Amino acid sequence: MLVAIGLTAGWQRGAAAIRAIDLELAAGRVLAVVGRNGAGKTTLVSALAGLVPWRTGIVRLGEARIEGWRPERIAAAGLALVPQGGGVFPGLTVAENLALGAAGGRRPFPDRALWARFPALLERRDRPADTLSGGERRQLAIARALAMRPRLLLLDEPSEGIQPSLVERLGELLAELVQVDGLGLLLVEQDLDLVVRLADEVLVLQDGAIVDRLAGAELADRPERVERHLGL
Amino acid sequence: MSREPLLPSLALWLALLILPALAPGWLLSQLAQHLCYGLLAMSLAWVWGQGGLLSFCQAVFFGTGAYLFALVAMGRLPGVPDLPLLGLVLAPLAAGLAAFLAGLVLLTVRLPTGAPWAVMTLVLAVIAERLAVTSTWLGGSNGLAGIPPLALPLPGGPLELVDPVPTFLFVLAIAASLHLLLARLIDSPRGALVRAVREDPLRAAHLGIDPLRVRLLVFTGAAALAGLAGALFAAQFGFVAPSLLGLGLSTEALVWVAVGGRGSPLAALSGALLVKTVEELLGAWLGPGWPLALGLLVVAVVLLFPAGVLGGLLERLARPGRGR
Amino acid sequence: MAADPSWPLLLLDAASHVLTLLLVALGLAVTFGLMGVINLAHGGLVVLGAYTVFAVERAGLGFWAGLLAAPLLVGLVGLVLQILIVRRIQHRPLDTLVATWGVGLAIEQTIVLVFGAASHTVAPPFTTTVAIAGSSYPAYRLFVMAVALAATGFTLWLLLRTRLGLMVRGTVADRRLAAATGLPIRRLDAGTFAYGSGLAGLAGAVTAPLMSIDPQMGTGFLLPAFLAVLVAPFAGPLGTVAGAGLVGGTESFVSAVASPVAAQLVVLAGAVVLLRLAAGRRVGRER
Repeated sequence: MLVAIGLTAGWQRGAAAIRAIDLELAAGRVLAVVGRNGAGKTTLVSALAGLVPWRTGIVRLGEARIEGWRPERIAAAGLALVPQGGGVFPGLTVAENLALGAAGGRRPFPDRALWARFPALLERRDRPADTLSGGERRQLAIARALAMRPRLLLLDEPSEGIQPSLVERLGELLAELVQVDGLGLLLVEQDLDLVVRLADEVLVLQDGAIVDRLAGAELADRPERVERHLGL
Repeated sequence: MSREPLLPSLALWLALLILPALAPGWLLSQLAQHLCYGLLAMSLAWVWGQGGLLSFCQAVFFGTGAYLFALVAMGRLPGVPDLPLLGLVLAPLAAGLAAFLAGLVLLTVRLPTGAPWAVMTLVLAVIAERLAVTSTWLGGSNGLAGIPPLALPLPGGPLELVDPVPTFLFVLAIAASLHLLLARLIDSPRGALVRAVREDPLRAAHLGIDPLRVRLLVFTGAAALAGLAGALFAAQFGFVAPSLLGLGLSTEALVWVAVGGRGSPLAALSGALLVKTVEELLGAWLGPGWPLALGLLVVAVVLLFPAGVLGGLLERLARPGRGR
Repeated sequence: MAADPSWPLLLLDAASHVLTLLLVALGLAVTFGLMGVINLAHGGLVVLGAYTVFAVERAGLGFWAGLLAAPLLVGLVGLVLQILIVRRIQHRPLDTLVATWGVGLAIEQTIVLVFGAASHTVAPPFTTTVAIAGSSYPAYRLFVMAVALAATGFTLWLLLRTRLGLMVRGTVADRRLAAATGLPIRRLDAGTFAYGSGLAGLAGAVTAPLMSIDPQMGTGFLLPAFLAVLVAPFAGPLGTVAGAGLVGGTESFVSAVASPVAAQLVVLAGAVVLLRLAAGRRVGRER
């Protein structure tokens, strides 16, 4: 379980990019974060992963206080990040990417269950990651994060730039991760259909602060409440 | 830092100006030579601090100027009259030309400011020294001795710069005016252009600036300055040797500039004067421990004062109230 | 050199030169080529390796103990260097250059203080010769060549076939992602730098009996090795092998037919041309 209380973080000392964020994410739940471009969504997930300097506030992962930890320590503690637009090691093969994920999580590799879940990656296991298609690369990024066997997964716009039919499949995969594997997901997403489908709770971010929070079901009933903030 | 601090500059030059009234002759002679090293440091601060081109071969141009002055003053250059003053004029031209040609070749290499560039300048310094050692025309490893001093054509008959006081004042006048010129250049829009190329060559290129041209000009100009310094040095010292254009002096200059501060010519020049003076005081006592101390000093300065000791101080003076 | 050197011997000498250079360049290929740290103390680390063998041998422990101690000691020095200095300024390449140059000077002068500025000799552990093409060739030179090849092979194996090497390659490919994946990037940095430094120590140690050693010999090692890494036609240790072949081969050939100074000039000119070509290639790929 991940809990943040009053989390403030950013590169510049004076002007923090995200301010006073409160959130809670339990295993088997999906917490979605929506907001316009520049609202601070990527900064929020990066800060939780330790990639943006922490300023004040509390972040707890299970029993441990992880604020200010270095990213590799946070990752090894069970919080895996799938960063926006990337998340694969270029130049390394598919198998090597997954082996690195396993190494980061101090897990054995090869991982048969993982290959079984991503047959398309198994077929291309010796191809360099940067020769894969966009959809395959996204799969690899998620698979790499799963190879760490995390407790919680931070996904930064996983549907960005992949074709609609694949977004459908992505939704199925993420739902399975929550329902079957019991993972907790923090999902930054622009695709509101995907958010409605998966999220238990939705946070609306604007100018680095949370301006609204609502249950996933509420979003399905009254999407205009969120669309107003997104400028749609 | 973009602006050269006015008050500290004035203070330094005035302090040096009244020195002949107080200091003994030997100290003046020594300081006049150290001022030449100071000019070399200034030229390095220009290419490195302003231009972003870390050069391990700045002494090559210092040495080129020194050798050229020696050749002219000793009448060893066929077709050129043996006038020391002419040597003083030709030395920066020769050094600038050498840098222009070397820069034309080296600066077009990929990542000009990174490791390839730095290593290439290192190799250049090694080769230059080897060439001077093997050349009999340049006196081989013995160098050239017996270089006549400068003679100023004054109304009351030529004044040979042999005595410490006139020599010191002459070098001081040249150093101060070159510092003024360089400071004005750095503060001018052209100076800003140089820094723009240093910070982001790609963006500068998009703005219609040719980064290669700017870098080549800075490299050439700084080499000319180093060449003049070398000629002044040779005129006082009366002797040039291959060590003047090698890796040793080049890296020594790097120490002065790192210690003083690469952001401002004043800081670099003061760094040279400071390190050289300390070397005179402690060098004999420390023996081989001196270079060791020098090495550790550089490491400490880079770790603790990235802008240089004096440069950091000047920066704080220039922006009071914004202490970090 | 004999008036009419036979071609096999000339080739063998060139191969010896190339492989010695490779041994020095290999450490640089790791610290500079892989981690991007421009380590001007590398020459000093090579000298330190040579003097370790000299000191161990003088202490009566024999050559082989020295050969074992040198990479370990120099690797340890590299580790300390990385943690105390390089780690803090790695993101400022020019400052790294200047600081590591200062470290190199400090190492060199420490050696002067301890062992004096004069040159010393290290006795080779065996003086047997092998008959090759009708002449006798020192077996120790063949041993040095074998060590160079073995060190290269071991480094390649470590990098390409082990999990540790994979983690290093991952860190090189994308540092931020490596950290977010939970790889211990700071320890990998330190370990890799120590390994590269250890290779420098090994290079100095194993080549010490081939020449007279002096505190100032570091620069002579450093520059060709840097050029070899710079002109490497492709990334990684294999590229360095090719680079060392190019630089060392040219150097020994031009030295044999002309002079060492001419050889340096030719190598520099060749390096400039190769870097120009590489720049063209790079721009072409970006488009």
